[in-house]
Amino acid sequence: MSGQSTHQGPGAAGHEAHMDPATAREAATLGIWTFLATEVLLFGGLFTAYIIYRIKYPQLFYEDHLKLDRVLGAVNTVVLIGSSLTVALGIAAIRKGKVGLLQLYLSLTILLAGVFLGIKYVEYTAKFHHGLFPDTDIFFSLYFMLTGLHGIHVLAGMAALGTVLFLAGRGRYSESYHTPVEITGLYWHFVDLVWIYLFPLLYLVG
Amino acid sequence: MRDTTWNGEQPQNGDAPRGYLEAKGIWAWVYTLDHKRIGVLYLYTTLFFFLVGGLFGLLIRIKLLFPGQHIFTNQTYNVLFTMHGALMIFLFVIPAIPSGLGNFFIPLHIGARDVAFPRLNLLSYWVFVAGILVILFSLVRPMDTGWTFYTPYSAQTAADVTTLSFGIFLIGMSSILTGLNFLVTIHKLRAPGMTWHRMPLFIWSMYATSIIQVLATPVVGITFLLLAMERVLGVGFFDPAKGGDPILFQHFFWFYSHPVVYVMILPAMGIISEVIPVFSRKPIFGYRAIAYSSVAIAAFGFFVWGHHMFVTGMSATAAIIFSLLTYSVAIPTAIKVFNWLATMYRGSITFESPMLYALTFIFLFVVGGLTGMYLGALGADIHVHDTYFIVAHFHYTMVGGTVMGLLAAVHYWFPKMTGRMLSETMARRAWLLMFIGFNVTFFTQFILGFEGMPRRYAEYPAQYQTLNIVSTVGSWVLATGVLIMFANFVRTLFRGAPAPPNPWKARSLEWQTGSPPPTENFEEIPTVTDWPYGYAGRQT
Amino acid sequence: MANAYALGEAASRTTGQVDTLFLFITVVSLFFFLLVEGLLIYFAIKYRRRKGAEAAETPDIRGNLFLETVWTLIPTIVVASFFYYGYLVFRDIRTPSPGATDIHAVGRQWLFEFRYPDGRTSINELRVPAGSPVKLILSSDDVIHSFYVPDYRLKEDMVPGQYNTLYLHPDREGTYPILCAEYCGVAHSTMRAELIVMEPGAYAAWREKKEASAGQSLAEQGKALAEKSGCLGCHALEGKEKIGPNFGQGFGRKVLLADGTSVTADEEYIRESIYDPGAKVVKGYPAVMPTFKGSLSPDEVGAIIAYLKSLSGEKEREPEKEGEKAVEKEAREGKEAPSAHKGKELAETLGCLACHSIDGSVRAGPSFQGLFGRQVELEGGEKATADEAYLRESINLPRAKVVKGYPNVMPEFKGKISEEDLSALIAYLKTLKQ
Repeated sequence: MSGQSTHQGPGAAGHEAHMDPATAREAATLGIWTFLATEVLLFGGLFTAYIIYRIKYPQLFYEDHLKLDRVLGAVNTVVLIGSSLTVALGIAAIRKGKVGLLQLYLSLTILLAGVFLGIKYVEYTAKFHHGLFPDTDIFFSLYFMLTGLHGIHVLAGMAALGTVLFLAGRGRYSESYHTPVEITGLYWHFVDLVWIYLFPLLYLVG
Repeated sequence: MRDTTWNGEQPQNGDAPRGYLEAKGIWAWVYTLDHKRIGVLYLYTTLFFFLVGGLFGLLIRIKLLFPGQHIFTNQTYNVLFTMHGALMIFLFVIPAIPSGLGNFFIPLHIGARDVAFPRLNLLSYWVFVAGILVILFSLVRPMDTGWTFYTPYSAQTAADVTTLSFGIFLIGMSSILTGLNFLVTIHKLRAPGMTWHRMPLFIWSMYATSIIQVLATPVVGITFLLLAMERVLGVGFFDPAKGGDPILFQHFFWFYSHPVVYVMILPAMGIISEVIPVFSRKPIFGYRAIAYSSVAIAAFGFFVWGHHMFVTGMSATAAIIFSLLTYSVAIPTAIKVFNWLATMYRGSITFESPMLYALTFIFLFVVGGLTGMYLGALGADIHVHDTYFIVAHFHYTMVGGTVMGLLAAVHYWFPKMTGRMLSETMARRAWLLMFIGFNVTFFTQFILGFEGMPRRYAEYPAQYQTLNIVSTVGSWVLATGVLIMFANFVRTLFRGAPAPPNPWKARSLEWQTGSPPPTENFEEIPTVTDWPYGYAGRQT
Repeated sequence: MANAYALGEAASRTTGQVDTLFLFITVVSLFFFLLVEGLLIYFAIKYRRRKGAEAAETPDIRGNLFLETVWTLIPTIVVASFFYYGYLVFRDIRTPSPGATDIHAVGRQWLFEFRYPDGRTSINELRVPAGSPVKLILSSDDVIHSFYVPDYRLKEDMVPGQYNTLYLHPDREGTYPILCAEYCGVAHSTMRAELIVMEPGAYAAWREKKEASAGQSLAEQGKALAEKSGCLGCHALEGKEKIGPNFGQGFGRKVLLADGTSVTADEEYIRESIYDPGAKVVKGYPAVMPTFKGSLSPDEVGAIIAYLKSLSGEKEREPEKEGEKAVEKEAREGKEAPSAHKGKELAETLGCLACHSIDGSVRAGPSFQGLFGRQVELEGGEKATADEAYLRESINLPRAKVVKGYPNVMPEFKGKISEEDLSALIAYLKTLKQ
């Protein structure tokens, strides 16, 4: 699913044959918003499971969440919010035609995403070390499924950002044409937003 | 009405024009960005699985000639009905009309050169193929879960449900991307002058379909991922031993799989709304009622999934609410049927094969719809739930409905897609056999179901044998009809008479260009000044 | 088999109600069927284009608001009536019948087991007296099954980890098929039982006879469990309350929960409260009860529920105990090795015989007859001797070594049966060696 945003980029560029640039831009924007709606529903299944089981097992959720590392979770929240900021700054830069600045901010975003995954790796290792696995109980099933699916989205986002960074280096984007940068940015904000929900739901129960 | 109407002349040279089919060689198909070629690829793929799935259906019927263990073992039978259901649903009924015909005709209908994202479109097709390959690979250990994959059975069986889940995830992804593409296409690429209320009704129905594809499919994606994770990692959402709930799987599954029956039926309804006015030579009756009812069906369809679960121990309150909501879908459906009938009133009707299939759609779908009335009623559903009554109802809506709509469309658009005219004689013979065979096969199953024969029974109490034999004989008549129809398709592809651009004298945009259409669809994008149903007046 | 369609007389109260509902929908639907299909055919004939005739002129009719309103409103009224009638019948089916006898029905791959309140059990045979309502408490030990009595027009799923209930009103004597209606694996279609509705006198006589060999009643088993599991440390029976609510007079009561909602303390609530005590805590009590998930099996919870019911004064027919019958039982077992006899019972109750015959005939699995000690060819070409070790493995983890030519469908029994039971089963297989 994540390949979608990268495919829209080059696609939009090649569409001038049957779409004028303004229409292509509108189409890409509508496309990415629709795509994000499907992503909301993909996570929606897991959030539904979360709601059902939290109501069913409040005690379990309370006790288990204490086993998560709040500090690392909070640091990761800051890291991801930071990455959303850098992506937004990158978009602001290309709107003014500053390609070099865009490249800098995109590199920073990818770096922060890497930091996020690194911290996630440390957390996972600690859980496994303490004998906490996806099959331990419902809470940890949810924890690993939600953060795992989110982690895959972070990876996909890094791939999309990397593609945009590469194409920016080839001089593909300018003040007048930068739709792929914007839609990749939107996707990244979505990935960030999911974490903003995950953090309190998993780390700050009760 | 339009500047670009065809002037009625046959092409001067003897060869039919090849249009978008001009480029030769396999790579011209593999890498094509042309929505028409991608549509044709989908049609070939889905029709192939229609035949394979049909073969499994025939084998099911043969086994059921006898009440005991005959011909196939019970385990083989369980594999047969799983394959029949899974292949027909996931690889034929869901993608055939939206991905196949939708791809081909949405841009032509709205006067566009292509869909909004042609590369994404090609990617969707190959993701679909990848999904098929993964599913086929999973069948090394034959699947025995039924197409509904209910937990805990699907989490425990030795069959390779894990691999299959990834295959279905890929197919779902393809479906989402196609729906997304169509939504954007319909929003942004309509020809100048084509307002929302000048769109053909097929486009309205495809719009409603795309909304469902985009909003419901992700849920089945996550459901199958969780099922796979339950088998691989021991995640316990659906496992009572771990505090999970097997019924939650059913909620997730039907939250997708009920709306998706409207993915199957809405495009077929759109096709009927196109074909009836053309062959009645009369404007469609109640354009807005039909258009809005498509959207209403899609919307209501999201809130009725619970009617698949009335006997799972659902609370009485939930059951009552779901029953009430279920009936709300019946109303827009009835509205459509009455509008089609009113379109025929005082028309000048001819009965070429597309019209025959369209009328058959109405005839059979009414039976499917009315038998749905029993299933929505709580007291009655408890009895016939999970019996042959359901099997019959489902086939009347899906074969009587979707497949008849698909066949109406294939016969209607065959000249446009291939540039050749089907043999009417063969088409009529095939239709007659299919109509008779279908009713014999499936009407008997209503009776079997009411008499209490459960579905998915390899062996059944002997009292049900007579009707089962009748049903099986019916399936042979039905299969003969299907074979004649396919023979007609194949024969026409090689030897059919060249088709003029507009053999049915239809007014929608796809007929205002060549048969087959050129790669760029229209030499010049037409400007639309009126709706496409202006058929009233003196017919010649 | 009795078939109510042939008899023309309702086997149960629900039969008549559901059939009348069907008739109502059929009559109304038939009217609309004839109307729509009639118009379809009539228009097709009347307005067909006649060959050679002068070209017809079609009118430019695009819609009619009045007609649209009519054919929106009429279907609305019709489906509303279907809904309401369906709801009435449903309400009646779901309404508890006072004084109904509780019978636990458990689905298992691939048989139905019935547990009567006095501790008797039966496999694939549910005997009830005509004229008295029965409350079935449905559950499953493995996958989802569905309890379906076509002649009663009733069905309810048997779901693992959950109790569903179904009320039967056996009005007419006779034998009615019980079918599994939810696909549950290879022997799904042969998972059938019989509902035997007996004349009350005959039922009483049968019960006497059966009771003779019955052990403790379900309620008694529950009492023992409640003592053993320490329930009574916090729950008094009557009088002064301890930490938790009293057991006496508790069952079936409406209780107010800590979150302000209220719930009936029925089977499902008790089950949930034993497994997941924190979910619905009664108002005014601390949420301190530990979960018994893993320590009490579903069967044991069923027994405790029966015990609670007996305390709250629900009618529970206590069996009369006779010591002398135990002697008779012992004598009967004396003929075979005790463990082989137990193995035979296990083979029946675990559902082995649904797939493995004992007469050499081929079903979903190899026949038990002559199996022990035989050379078998495995899937993949290897050979193995069906000795004790092989059989032990094949019962615990059947997928490890599948006999060639048979489907790989047997459920795992690891953790489901005790070591002792396993030995008993194998001892039984030995006796079939020939």
